[in-house]
Amino acid sequence: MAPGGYIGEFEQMVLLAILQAGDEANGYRVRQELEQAADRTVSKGAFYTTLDRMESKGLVTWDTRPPTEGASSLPQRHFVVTPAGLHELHRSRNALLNLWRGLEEFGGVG
Amino acid sequence: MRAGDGPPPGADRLLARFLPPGMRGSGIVADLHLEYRDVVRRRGRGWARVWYWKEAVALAARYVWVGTGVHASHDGRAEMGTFLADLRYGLRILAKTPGLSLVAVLTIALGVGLTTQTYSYLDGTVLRGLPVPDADRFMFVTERIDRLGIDQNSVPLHDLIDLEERQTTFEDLAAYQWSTFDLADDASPPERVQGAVVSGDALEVVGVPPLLGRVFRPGEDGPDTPPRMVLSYRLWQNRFAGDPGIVGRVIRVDGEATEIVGVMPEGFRWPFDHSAWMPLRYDPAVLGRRSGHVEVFGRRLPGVSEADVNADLERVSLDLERIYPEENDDVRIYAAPFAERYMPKEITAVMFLMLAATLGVLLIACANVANLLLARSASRGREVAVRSALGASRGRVIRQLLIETLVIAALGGLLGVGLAWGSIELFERAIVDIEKPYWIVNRLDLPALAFALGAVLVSTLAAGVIPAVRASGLGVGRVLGDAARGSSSRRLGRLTSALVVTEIAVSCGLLVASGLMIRSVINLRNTDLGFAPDQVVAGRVTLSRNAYPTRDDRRAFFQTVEDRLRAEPGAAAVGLASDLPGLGGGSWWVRVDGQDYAREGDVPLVAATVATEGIYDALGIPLRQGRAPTPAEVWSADEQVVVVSQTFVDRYLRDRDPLGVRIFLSRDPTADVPGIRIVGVAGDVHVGGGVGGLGDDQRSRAFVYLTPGSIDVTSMAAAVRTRGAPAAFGPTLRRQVNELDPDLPVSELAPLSEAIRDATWAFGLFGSLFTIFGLAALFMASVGLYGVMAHSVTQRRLEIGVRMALGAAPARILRMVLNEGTAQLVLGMVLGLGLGWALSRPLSFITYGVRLSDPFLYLFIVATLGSVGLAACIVPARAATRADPAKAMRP
Repeated sequence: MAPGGYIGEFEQMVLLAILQAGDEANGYRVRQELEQAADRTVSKGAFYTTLDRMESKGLVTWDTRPPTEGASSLPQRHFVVTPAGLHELHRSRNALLNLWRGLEEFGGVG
Repeated sequence: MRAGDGPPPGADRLLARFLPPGMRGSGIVADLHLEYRDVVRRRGRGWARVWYWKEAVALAARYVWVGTGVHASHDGRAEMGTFLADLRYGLRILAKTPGLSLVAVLTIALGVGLTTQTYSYLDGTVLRGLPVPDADRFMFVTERIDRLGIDQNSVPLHDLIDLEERQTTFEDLAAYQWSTFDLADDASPPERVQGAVVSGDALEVVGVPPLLGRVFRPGEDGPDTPPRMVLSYRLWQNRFAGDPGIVGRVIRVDGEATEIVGVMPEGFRWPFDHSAWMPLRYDPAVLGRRSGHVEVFGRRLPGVSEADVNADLERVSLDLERIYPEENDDVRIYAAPFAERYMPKEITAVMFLMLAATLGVLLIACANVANLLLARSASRGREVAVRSALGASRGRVIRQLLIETLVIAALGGLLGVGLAWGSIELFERAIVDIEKPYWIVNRLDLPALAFALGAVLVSTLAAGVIPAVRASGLGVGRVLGDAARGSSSRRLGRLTSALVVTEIAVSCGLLVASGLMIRSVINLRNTDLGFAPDQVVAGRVTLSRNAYPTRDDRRAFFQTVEDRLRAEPGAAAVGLASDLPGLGGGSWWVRVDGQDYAREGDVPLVAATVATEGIYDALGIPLRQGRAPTPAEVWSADEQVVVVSQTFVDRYLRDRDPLGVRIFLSRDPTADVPGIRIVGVAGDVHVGGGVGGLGDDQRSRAFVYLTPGSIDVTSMAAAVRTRGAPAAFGPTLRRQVNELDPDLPVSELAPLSEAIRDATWAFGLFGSLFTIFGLAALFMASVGLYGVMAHSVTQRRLEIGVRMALGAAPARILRMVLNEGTAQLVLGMVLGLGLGWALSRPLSFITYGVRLSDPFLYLFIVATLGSVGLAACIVPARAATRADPAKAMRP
């Protein structure tokens, strides 16, 4: 991410989906949130490489949870949005809101 | 979850292999497991398993091909991913311009194919060396007597014995001598094989262990030892059908009961192409100091250099000269790598020259591809500029362009290796009958493949770097702006011109070399041999001293064979000769009666054969003066007469009537021999000889015909001029010999013209190789010239369009384009002729009857290259004049 730039649309959506999934934010659950909210299928490859990229930028982190009983013998990754991630989300949101200000006739906020 | 309910384990293994390591990958699999459970619930287990496989393959492929795209700097797999992405992109670009890509790939294929093939010959002939342990230290020892002009002389046994005592630089010295063995047993017909008699320790010194039985032991040589034999694998297989009980069997060799003590492993035919070995049976006690010559060899001590060895041998030579001032006067012993005994340095030099020639072809190929890529990079300037503008670093762009070149070079290399393999197979099949050192095996082995790989990488760099750096360095503004259109051809122009000039020069140089070789082959085929070998069949009979102990026995046998052959209705004329013209002759010193020779070095050396009177009719050699010897003179030792060639008379008997002059011929210039009277002068013949027919200009050698009455010979070839097909007479010749002696084989049985053709194989070989190189070079240079001209015309289409719109005549445009091409052509040819002239010096060893500065040759090459080059310019130039100006001026 270039200095002063904003995170991309897909990255914002992934961060928000992690927040929505809350305590159940494993990869499968996050992707489900994303697909339901965005009403589109998300390629697993793109999804996981985005997660990895955001991790390397320090926007998300993860910890290990024990395997889900009856589904897998492998431990799950549980994703968490970092303070830096939250900050970036807010920055993007504020920038958009600022741009919408005064555009009531187009459905913007007052 | 019950066992067997889980996702397919095979798919999980696939994922484990390709996903990132650790939790990063296994977390993804765990997610997939969760989803799998849902899919099973919704769609059933069968469907879910199919779905799981599909997902696993898609994920794995994603990680292989694209990589994660994150840790590019420190994750090898990601690096691989970008490489593969570049590769895919490169392939797509190549597929977009299939014509150009095909030409580039074929060009590289031709270059890599030729170099790989030549390298594999060089490797097989020179670099790989002898298949013996510590081959780099394996040397032969020989003598030089400058005073007599003798070099590479084999070593008298007494010198060897003294040398063994005094030398300090060899591990061991051993000896051998070429020999032939006549094998006879009750199971198969008699057979003559090429063998060697060796000192007792020789095979141990060579160091290759036997396959069966044993080799000889030290002390198993000498005059009174019982005859024993070691067989080569080939002889064991062919004659004894690989009999496992062969060791201990007794066969007759040269009439003597001989025990077989061992069999050597497959491929061992040391020292040259030998089939069997027996102990040397010299008795030093009865040999004089200068007789009993043997070939000496050994391995120098580890850590001792070739120069150390020769310093040591020089010291021993001086010692011996002091002790035996008469016998060892001026005798110098020296050593050289063993392979050089049978592979003259000149051949090695020619092999390297051939590699250089093919590297020249590869260079042209690279220049062509570079030009093609330069042409493309100019038209891709916009693409590169856009990529740079979007943040691609210069290194990244260069890398992408280099990978594209690598794709071309790799495809070309693959095809080239295939070409090399095919031509090596054909070549080996063509030379299967040619006698050559046993260690020379041409095959496409690991070193040759490594060389091919090297050639591919080098050509990638040679062809790719300049275009890539050029393309990546074009300023963004310059290319995207309008400035690009008119001027890019100018900027690239100078570089492409230089490449084309180089190409033309290199191919011109190669054409000079191949022209010389082709002329040599033609000269050799058309040469007037001085005799008529076409209707002649010849076969050789060699008598062993055991079966034919006295000179009279041998004379009687040869005389009877000649008489019996003459009585055959199929024979028009019959003669015997120890050496047949066209196949070489022995070297003899000759003194002419009444002539003074100030020094021994002044005594001339001539070629000689020992022949019967029938040889002149059988071979069609004309007698210019005098007569042939009478049968009585031929076989009697009392009346010694000789026939000499016209060149002999011209050179040594100027202003004298040759008939009646006495000459003294001997193998030893100092020996006192009886004089022989000249009774006839024969027309000159092509003497022949030398490795593969190479060497002196054979037609001008003085030749002398001695008689079996004056010289004792054990081996003679019967030459029969036949009434029918010469090959058909072969069995009759063999039958006549075997009716006299059933144990005696007839060797070298073949029509004489075939034998002469085989003996001059080197001209055919080098001639055809250089022709291939030259034609390949010509082809590539014209493709290169065409490509560059076509590109230059495309680049200048705007300018040409404007000129034509303003009314320039097509002829004027044509002339303008042609001028540019011919300038390059002329400059390239001038440089190339100089290069060819320089190349022709080392080639003089393998040319025949060709003047190196033959003006017709150079004119022919200039005409050929010039017309091909002009054609390559005219085609695009004409296309330029036909273009619609309105279309050309549109951006």
